[in-house]
Amino acid sequence: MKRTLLLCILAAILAAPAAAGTSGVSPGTSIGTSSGRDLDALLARARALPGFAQRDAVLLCEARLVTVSPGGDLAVRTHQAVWIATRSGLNAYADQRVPWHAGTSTLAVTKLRTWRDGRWWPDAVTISPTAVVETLPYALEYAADYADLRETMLLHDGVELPCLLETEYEIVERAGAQAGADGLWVFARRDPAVVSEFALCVPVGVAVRHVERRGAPAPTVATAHGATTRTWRLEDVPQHGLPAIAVPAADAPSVLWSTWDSWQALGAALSRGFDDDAPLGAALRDTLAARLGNAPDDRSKARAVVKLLEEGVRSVHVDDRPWRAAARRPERTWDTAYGHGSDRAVLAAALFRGAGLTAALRYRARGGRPVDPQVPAAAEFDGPFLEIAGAGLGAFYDPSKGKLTESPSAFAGPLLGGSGLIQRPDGEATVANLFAFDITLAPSDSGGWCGAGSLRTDGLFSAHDRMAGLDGDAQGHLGAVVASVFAGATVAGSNPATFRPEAVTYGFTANVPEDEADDFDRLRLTVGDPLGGLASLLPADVHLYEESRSSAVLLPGSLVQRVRTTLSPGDREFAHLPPDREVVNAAGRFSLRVERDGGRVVVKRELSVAAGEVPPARWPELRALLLEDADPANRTLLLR
Amino acid sequence: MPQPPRPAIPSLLLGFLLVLAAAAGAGEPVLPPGDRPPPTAFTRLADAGDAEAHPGAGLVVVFEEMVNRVQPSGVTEVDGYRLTKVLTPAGCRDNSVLTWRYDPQSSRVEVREVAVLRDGERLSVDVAAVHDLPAPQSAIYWSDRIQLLQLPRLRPGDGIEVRTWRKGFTYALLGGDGAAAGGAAADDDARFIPPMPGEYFDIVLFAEDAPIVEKRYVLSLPADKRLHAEVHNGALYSSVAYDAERTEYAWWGRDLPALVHETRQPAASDFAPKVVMATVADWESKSRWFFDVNRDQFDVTPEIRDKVDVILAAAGLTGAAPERRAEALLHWVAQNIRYSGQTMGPGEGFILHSGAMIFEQRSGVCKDIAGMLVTMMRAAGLDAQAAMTMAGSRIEDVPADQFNHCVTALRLPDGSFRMYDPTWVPYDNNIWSYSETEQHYLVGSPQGDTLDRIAYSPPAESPLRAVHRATLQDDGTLTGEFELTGRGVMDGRLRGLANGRRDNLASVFAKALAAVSPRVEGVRVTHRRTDDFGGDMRITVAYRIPRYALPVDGGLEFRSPLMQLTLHDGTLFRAGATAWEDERKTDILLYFTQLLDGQETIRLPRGWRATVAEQPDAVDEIYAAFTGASRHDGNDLVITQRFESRRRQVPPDGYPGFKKAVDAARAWGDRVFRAEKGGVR
Repeated sequence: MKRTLLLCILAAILAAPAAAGTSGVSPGTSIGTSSGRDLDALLARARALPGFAQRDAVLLCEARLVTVSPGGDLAVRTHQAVWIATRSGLNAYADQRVPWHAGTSTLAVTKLRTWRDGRWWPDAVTISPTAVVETLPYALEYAADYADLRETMLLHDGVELPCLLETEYEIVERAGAQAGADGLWVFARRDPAVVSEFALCVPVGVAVRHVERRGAPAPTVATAHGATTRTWRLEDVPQHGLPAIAVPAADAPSVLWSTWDSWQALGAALSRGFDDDAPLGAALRDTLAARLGNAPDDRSKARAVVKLLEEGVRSVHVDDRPWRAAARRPERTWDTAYGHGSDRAVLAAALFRGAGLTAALRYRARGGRPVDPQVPAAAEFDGPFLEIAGAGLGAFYDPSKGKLTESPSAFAGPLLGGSGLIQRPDGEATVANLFAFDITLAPSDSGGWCGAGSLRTDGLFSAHDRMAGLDGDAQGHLGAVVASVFAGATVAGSNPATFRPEAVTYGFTANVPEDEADDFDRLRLTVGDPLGGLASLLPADVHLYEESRSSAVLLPGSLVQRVRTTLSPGDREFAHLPPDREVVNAAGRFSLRVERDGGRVVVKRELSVAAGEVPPARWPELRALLLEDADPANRTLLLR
Repeated sequence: MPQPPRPAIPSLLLGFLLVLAAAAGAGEPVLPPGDRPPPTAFTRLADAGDAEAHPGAGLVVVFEEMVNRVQPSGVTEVDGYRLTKVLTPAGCRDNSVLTWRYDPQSSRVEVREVAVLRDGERLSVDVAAVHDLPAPQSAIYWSDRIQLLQLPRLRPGDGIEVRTWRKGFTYALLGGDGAAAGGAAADDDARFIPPMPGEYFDIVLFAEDAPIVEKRYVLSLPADKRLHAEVHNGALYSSVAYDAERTEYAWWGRDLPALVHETRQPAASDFAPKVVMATVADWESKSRWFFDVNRDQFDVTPEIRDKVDVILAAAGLTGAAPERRAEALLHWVAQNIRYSGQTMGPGEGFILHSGAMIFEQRSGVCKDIAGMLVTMMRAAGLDAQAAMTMAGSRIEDVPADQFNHCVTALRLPDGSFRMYDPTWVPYDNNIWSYSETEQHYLVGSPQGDTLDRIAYSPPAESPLRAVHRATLQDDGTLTGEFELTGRGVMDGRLRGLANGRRDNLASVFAKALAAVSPRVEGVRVTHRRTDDFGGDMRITVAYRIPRYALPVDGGLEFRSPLMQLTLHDGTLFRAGATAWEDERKTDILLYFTQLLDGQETIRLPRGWRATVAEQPDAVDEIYAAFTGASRHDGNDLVITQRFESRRRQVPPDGYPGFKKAVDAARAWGDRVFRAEKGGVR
């Protein structure tokens, strides 16, 4: 079977240039057939798409064939043909950067050509030797141990708008001992596609688990020469929604596939190197011991380990997947003073363990979204992370960012560990996500305002880690929050009322400087957007200025933010107070209440948004709530 | 040559000398009070101080010396020595890998010795472990290489001692590690001979991100070579010595601070101490060389000639005046030759790719894009040459290769040149970017030209005319249209705004209008086609903002929407939208001058009147000026703003005045206008 499959792969490789060479591609009007795809027909269909003339680019085909060999090699062939019509399209496709690992893989470029003015450039079969340029990723310029990673540039010759660019290449990864493979194919791309196709070829007998989502088609299945090929093909695929979101598969058709036998097998493969109980080397052990010093408890020890890592080991920001099966020894990462996520995780695990804590490898489902338990795949997990435990301590460590969090809700959702999939209860089921800022102000003797207040941050809002957690600075963070609500304000004193990883309440006293009087002899007091509040938990793709959007908003949970200001005007009088206002819709609720309490005024601003995915059609409702909260009309008080 | 016979040393005398030598070695030589023995790496390291002596630094350069030996051919070898001291844990972390970049086509680098100096010991690092790899590359893909060496785990106080040897040259200013030095040219030395055979140049900065205790640069030239050299941006020590064979120049500096980093700073060569040197006689020689070396690169092929004919015919310019034909060809090249450079092999970096090659590839770097235009202009019968320039930085008056950019020169009938820069004017209706004014250039010509300079461009040549017409309803809703017209530098900047994804255009401008209010809706954008160079760029943005004005006590209060837009958009108003420091130690490089000429007319609800705010004091400083005003015109409130950025580069002593004008503009943007029915009480 193995021999048959190799022949199959070889035939496929050989077929590509042969197809190019025999496709009748000669000067004229026929582009011809390439790798079995009729480019003339595809272009004709592209031209028939609505609004073709206004497009930056249209993908005639975006295709990938993944071939798993009996020996564990993984061949990934990518074939793209794209019509580009604008500079934006040119910037996206003319020069392509292909990452691959020269230590474990080979890269073969089989097509790199441009169709324009009735001919191919440079010609139908030639790949200009200077158009394929091997480079080192910038992230590895100071990381000698990772120097096997390459980014090969594929530079198209002859590009003049409009034109057709074709690229085809294959990366063969000699995986050897890898017991499985998995991946995710999202059909929607930056630009609309006439054909978006994913094919998976495995030896007969290899079980493939897969799930099609959001309108993705079922595969066609063909068996030949000892291999079974499943092909998922979708035609006339719209571009992905805008703005682009962090989890593209969340609102586009996709296929998730896996050849792993089980989550346990996948977890075991990912955790190779993590569970090595070999003791630290003497030098590193001494360094750690010196740092731990007289750390009184496990939280202090964890803090010391994190600090040691940050001071001692640079984070190399590179996709670490090529090395997941071959993590470096902890001592090597320490000695080199740099590491990517996996290597920093291995070193961190060894140090945490050396400090007497437990450290377990974890991957987190992207965006905290549900995973399909039937398809054991790492493709939709981010990581690695470490789950740290000790006496009175439970925390997660992110080795790429060097951050340690004790807030359990920050790691809600499915996890993947060495023993397999870990489905845990949703954090918000036990703790509501609440941010509440409350302050009472009165004129101070020295000018301006002074008063006392409280800050409550629960669930996802929990400021535990920033205030008094492992990396925290309570007074500093509190001061920043108060200053974000009232410009220039400072915190004079603070006192914790509740302090748990999932819930923190602090009391504080503060001074707020008085603004200069405006042209109308009024003092303006603007109640701003609190740092760490609801806006900080919105996805980065949420832009209030966008009246409409074509992608979903993925909210992390139901969120409530309350800002309450009680103000005694002293010998001044209110020239303006915001009017009461309430907006309630399917996305949530905004309310503003202004109450007089004797001579004081209480302004209560509350915003709550519901959990889950907000489809594009419901974005205006969510936006309406967010705009109300941001509106100066709902934030401004004037005194005379 | 026969050597003279040596006199034999009597054995007794020899024995006496040996005893003396042994006695001398038995103890330290006695030094006069106050004198110190010659420094060693270890004493230098000890004297360099610790983290407290160098606040904020993770590393200090203790001693660096480059000895450049130039041979008659110009082939240069450099013996490099660099001793650094790690000061902090962060310094240990961030300096754990050493790197050296080079171009294998023109230079060679050998890492000869690396050691970590620790506790009085020299711990050797195995240089056989150096990785030689393809370098990181972006946009320029010339297959450069990089060498990496991993150091052992460092400790604060460690010294890193490195000895290198280089040979060859680095083209133009694209490399980072300087040129080379000499040694006998072997048979394979041809690739190391510099572009101007027999000549030498260098630009040596005496500053880097770490403080420097001492840095020396030594240049040894054959006696028959003469040298121009100048020190700029500060004082350095220097010496010259000679013998019958060679002349040796040296420059050194001591206790040099780390480079300061400030917002919108020019390149360090504009403000850090440097030596600029060259053996070439004069600019005219360099001009002739540049012409000669590229003499064969502009051959016109039939395909290129056909294309030129098509371009000119399509534009109706066949037989038109030279400038008009040149402009049409410039725009074709700028639009169709993308910036992405493949290598041509030997000669890369200073020889322009042939027109035929670039016409085929439709891509290249600046020199290739400029060369394509030269070729096409010649195909159109125009007298065009390639020229070198220095984008964004000053050129000192020493004929060294102080160039990082390449452009095109068209000789006019009066013998003067008109300059074209196709690399910097894609989607720009100018022939030369207004971001390159006051920039030096050198045209390559057979007779040899001298260094020349693009003229200063006053703000009026780069205006952004911003007109805003809006209607304010009594519920605070603002409906209106911004009309933005740009000329000079602002033409290209406006085109850039409109040149992103076609399906994202409204979002781009909604984002800009978010500075006015995120409630913006109904954004409709119209504009001149970004590749229509028949006139200045014009964009109109229609919008609606519900509840823009704040209802207060029966009236409506608001700030100037146009000022909110311009003060928050660096594309429209670079000086105004940049967060500036309170004080500056280095120049500001804005790249261009600009006039912001804004006028907005806000029609108030019938019967309403607005306050006419107190007029701000006009600011009229050397480097910037601002005036603002408001008035009533019937039912309309008219608000104006006028800002001038008067120089592309502002020196530190001009900064307070510049900042004063910016602050005045911001204060005007913060001014609250109030409208009431019947007029403000």
